[in-house]
Amino acid sequence: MAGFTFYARIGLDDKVRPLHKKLDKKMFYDFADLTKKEKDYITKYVDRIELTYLLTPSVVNIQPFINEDYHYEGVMFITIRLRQETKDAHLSVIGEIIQGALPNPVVIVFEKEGNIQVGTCLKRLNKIDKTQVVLEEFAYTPWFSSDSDDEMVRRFIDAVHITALSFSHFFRFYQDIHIAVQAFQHVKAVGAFYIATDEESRQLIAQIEQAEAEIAKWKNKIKKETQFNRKVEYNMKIQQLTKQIEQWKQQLR
Amino acid sequence: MEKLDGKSMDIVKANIEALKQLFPEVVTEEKIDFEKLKLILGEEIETRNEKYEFTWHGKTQAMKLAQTPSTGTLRPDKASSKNWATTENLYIEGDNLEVLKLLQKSYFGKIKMIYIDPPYNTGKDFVYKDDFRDNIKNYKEITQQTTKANTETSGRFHTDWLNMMYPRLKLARNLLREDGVILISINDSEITNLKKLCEEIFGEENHICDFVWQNKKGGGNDSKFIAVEHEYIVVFAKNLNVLPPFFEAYSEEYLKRYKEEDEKGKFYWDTFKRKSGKQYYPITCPDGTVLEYDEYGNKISWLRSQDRFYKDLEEGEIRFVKTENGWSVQFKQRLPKGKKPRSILDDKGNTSTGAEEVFNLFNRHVFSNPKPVELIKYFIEFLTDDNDIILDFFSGSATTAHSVILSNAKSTSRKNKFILVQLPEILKENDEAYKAGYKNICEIGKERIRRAGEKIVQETGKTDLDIGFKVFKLDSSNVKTWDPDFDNLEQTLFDLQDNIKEDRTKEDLLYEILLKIGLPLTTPIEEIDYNGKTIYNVAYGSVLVCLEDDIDLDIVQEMLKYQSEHMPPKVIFKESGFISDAVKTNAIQTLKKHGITDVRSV
Repeated sequence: MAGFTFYARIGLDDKVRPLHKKLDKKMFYDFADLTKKEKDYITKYVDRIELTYLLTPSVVNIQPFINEDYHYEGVMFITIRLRQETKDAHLSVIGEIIQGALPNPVVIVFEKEGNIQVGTCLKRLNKIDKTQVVLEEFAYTPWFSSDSDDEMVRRFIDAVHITALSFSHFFRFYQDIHIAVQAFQHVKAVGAFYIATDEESRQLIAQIEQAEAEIAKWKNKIKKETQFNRKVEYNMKIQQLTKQIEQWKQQLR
Repeated sequence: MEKLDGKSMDIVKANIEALKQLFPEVVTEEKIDFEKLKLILGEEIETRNEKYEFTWHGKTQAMKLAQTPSTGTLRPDKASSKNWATTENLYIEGDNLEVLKLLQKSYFGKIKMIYIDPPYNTGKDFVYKDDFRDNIKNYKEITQQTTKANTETSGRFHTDWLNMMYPRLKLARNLLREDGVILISINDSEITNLKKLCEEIFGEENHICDFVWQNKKGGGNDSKFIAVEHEYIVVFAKNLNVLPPFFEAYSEEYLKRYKEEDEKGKFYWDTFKRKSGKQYYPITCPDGTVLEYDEYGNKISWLRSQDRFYKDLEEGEIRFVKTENGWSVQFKQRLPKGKKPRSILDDKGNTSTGAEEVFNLFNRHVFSNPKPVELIKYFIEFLTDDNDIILDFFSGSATTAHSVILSNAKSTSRKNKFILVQLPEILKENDEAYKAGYKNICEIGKERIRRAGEKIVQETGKTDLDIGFKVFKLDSSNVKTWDPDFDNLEQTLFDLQDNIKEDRTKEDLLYEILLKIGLPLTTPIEEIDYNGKTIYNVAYGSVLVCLEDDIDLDIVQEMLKYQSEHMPPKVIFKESGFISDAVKTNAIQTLKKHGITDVRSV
C-alpha cells in the first residue's frame, strides 16, 4: 500500500499506532449535505475511505489550538483509495467533499495505481454558525511514488517528517504540513522546492501560479484563433506574463 | 509573395462577411441576392413609401463615405511625442473621419469608452466638410487655411452638421467593445438631431441616459428669455445586454462606517427601532424584557416586518445590546454594492473650472470653453476597469487625456490608456494662443498633456504613471499608387520599380504596415541592427519586418532567430528590396522550411 510506505517514511508509524478505521461512504451521504453530482463522484471514483491516524493530545504531545476563528483539537490522516478511472479534475471535488464534511483539520492521502497525492486545507469556523467550517485554502501535491528517490519527493518527505513539524500546538503542526504541500504543489511553477513561510513569498508564489495558468489559457486560445491580429495579441500576453514570472522568480531567490 | 494593399479595412466586405455568417444562402459569388434575403425576413419588410425615418440631404452619401476605405496612413512624429519608447497613449493629428477609418482594423472592438465634445453647431463653430473624391487631399487643403464657421444663414445648416457627424459615429461604433459606451457632449441646438442619429446608429434600445450637466453658475442676465445653465451628455451603449451595472466608488469617508465584517461582507450595527413606519410587534429580549411601547406609551415601530425579523434573528443579523436606557435592538446594516450615478451633474465642475484648469497650466487663456477635468474623470471612474482604452476624436484642449492621467494617478490599480484625435485647425492671428506661439489646436492639445502630466506627477509623487503619448499625423499613403496617365506612362512604370515615396522613412512604412495588418500603434517593436541593416521584431516575434534594399539570405536567416515559439510569424519585406529574384525565391523556400508561409511585401 503506497500510503503506508508514505506514513512510514515520514516517521508517523514510530510515533503513533494506526487506527485503520474504515469510514462508510454512506456516512458522508447522510452527514454531509451533498449534491447529486458529489454523491456520484464518491460512488464512482472512491474505492475506500479510511481514517488511518488520529492525532489528539492523548496520543501525541501537541496542544490543541482553539479561539473564536480556529478549532484545531487534533489532526486526522485519511487515506482514500481511488479507482483507476478517476481523473485529476475529480480529485479536488472529492477533496472538497471530505474536507467540508469534517470540521477537524485533515491530511488526505489519495492512492491510485501505486502513486499517492497529499491534500490539505486550512479551515476556520463560520462566524455565523459555529458548527460549520469555512474552507479557506486548499493545497495538493502532484502525484508521486512514495518510495521514490526523486529529489523533490525527498525534500517533501523531509519537510513533513514528524520530527520536522512544530509541536507547539495543532494549528502550527498542521500549518507546517500545509506549507510543505504547497511547496511541492508549486514546484512546477516556481522551478524549485521553496518553503514559503512569510506572507510576501506566499503571495509571489500565488502570483506565479496564476500567471502560469493564464499563460496556459492564452496558449490554448492562440491555437484556436484564426485571426492574425488576435494571435498577436495573445502572443504578446504570453510573452509579457513570461517576463513577469521571471521577475517574480528572481525575487524569490 | 502577396502584396499588402494600401487601403484601410474594407467595411463593405466585412458587412457581406457578417451576412454570410448569418444567412449563407443569400450570398452568391460575393453578391447579395435580395430576393432571397426578403424571403428569409418573412413579413417584416417595410415597403411603404411613408415610413418612420430621420433623413436629410446627403445621408446616403454620408453612409457611403463611412464605407469607403481610406488611402491614407499615420506617420509617426517622434519629435513632438513624449516618452515615445514606453508610452501606450496616442495623440493623432488629422481629420477624424480618415483617422477612424485607419484605426478600424487595429482597434476594432477594443475601445471601452468614447467621449467626444463635437461642435455644437451654434452657428459660430466650425463644421468640417468631407470630400468624396479625395478626402486626404481635401484634408491637406483645409488645414492650410483658416476655417470657416457653419453659419445659421447657410441653407444647409443642420444638414452639414449631420453629414459630418453621421459617418464618424458609424465608424466609432465599430471600435467599441461589446461592453463599450459612447458619451457625447451637446447642447440644446442639436440634441434632438443627435439623439435621432444615435438611435439609428446604436439602436434605440441601447440608449442609457442623457446626463444634464450644469455648465454655468450665476450670470446670464443678458439672455433675452432664459439663462440656460446646462448642457447634455448623451450616453449610448454598444450592447446594453452585456453591459454590467454601473456603480460609483464610495468615498473613504463613507466606508469608514462599515467597521465590521463577516462571511457576507462589510456591515455596521445600526438601530432596528425607527421613528416612522407601521411595523408594530413585540420583541422579546434575552432576559425576557418585552419591547413594544416606548416611555410615552406609543407603539414602537421597527425597520422590518415581524417575519423578516425572526428570519434575521436566526441568521445572526440581529443582536441585543444592553445600554443605560435598557435594551437596544440592532441589525447588520450591510454595505450596498455601490452608489448609482445620478443623471443630474451639478458638482462636476463647470465651464469656468475648465477654463481655469487650462489657464493654470499655461498662464493665459489659450482655449475657449474647455470641458472640466472633473467631468470626464467622473465618467471614467464608473465606466471603465483598470486597463481600458478611452478614445476622444474631437479632443480639442485634450481634457480627456488630462482626465485619464489624473484618474490613473488617483487609483492604485487603474492603468487606462487614451487615444486622442484632433484636426490641426489653424488658429487666427488675433487668437490668444496664436500670440503665445501656438499655430494650431493640436499644438495646444499636446502641450496641455505635457504640462498636465508633469503637474500630476509632481502633485502625487507617482513616478510610474504613463504621462507620455505617441504622436501620429495623418498623411497620404507611403506607397505610390498606380496612377498612370498618358503623358507620363513611361515615367510611372519606371517609378514603380521603387514604389515607396522618396520623402518617407522606413518607420513611416513600418507603421503603415501595422495599421494594414491590424496591429495597435503601441505594439512593442524591437529594432535589430544586423550588419547595418534594420530588422524590426514586432510584438515579440509575431511579425518580422525588413524594409531595406539589398536583402540577402543572411538577413532572412537572422530574422528567423526572432520568431515567436507560440505562433508562426508574418514576415514582410520591401517588394523591390531583394538583391535578385533568385534570392527572393530562396527566401520564400527557406521561410517555408521553418513553417512560415505568411510572407508579404509592400
